[in-house]
Amino acid sequence: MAAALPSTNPRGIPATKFIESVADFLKDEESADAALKKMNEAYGTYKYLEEKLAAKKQSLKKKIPEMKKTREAVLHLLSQKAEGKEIQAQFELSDHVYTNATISGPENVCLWLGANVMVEYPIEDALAVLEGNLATAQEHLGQVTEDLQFLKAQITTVEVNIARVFNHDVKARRRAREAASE
Amino acid sequence: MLQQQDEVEAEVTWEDQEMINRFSLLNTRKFELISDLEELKKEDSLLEDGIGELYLAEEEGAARLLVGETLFHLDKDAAVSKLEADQERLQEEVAALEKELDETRSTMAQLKVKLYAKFKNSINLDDE
Repeated sequence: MAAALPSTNPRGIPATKFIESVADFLKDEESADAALKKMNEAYGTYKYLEEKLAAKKQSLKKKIPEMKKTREAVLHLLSQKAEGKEIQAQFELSDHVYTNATISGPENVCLWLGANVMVEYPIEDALAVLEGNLATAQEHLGQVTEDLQFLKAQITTVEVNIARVFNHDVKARRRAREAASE
Repeated sequence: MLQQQDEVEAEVTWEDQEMINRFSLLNTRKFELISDLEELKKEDSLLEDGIGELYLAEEEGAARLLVGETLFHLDKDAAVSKLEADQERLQEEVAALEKELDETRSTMAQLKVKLYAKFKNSINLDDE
């Protein structure tokens, strides 16, 4: 008998079945070895998915602080503009080379969108774009974290299932040996 | 390997599985929290140094704040205010994570007691 784990994952990751009773479970399987083989395959798939998602999570965790810094720079421009101040800055012209810049009354900023594309926006619009991107990234991070937690529960359950079936098999073989030697 | 006499006959119930899964999840979260806290504390230390240096600096208008790849010139006072505000936010985040870490450790300890009581040596919940 097996019970399904609660809640299917919103991204469609299949849930694994919890084995209520190993003895009953094995009645439906060809043999303990066949059952173990299937479970090990499922385990492999889950672990592979986990690796991919963990990498995605790391990449998002790196991108988010960078996005916050970009937003901070734009906010700084806005706040200095609001005070009517001119901004003195040094920016990176190329590796290890900086040059002076005076920014007065900035109207537009250019946002690097990736793939060698840069778009000019009025400052307020640029801020909105950046905020939107940051929110999306944080939402993705939330989803990936949720998926990883779901996966972890499946992986742990499969590990326990494998151990129980294996132990059950060991005991069954031992009982058979002892019975045979009587 | 377990000796035969140490083997536990107890079958794993659904509640047990849930406790084991929860323990596993908390364990992963614990390591993540420890690592995040380390990062935040490094950042806090850098901010502390920055604020300290600014206080010691003599000329006004001497501060340059690195945001991304650009150095913005700021008044010393403006720079100090900004860094202090950043530090305050950071310290709130540190406090929240430390609280979560404490709760995580405490729940893990409770789960350990229950699981070891039922499964004794058949289960291993210690990796540190």
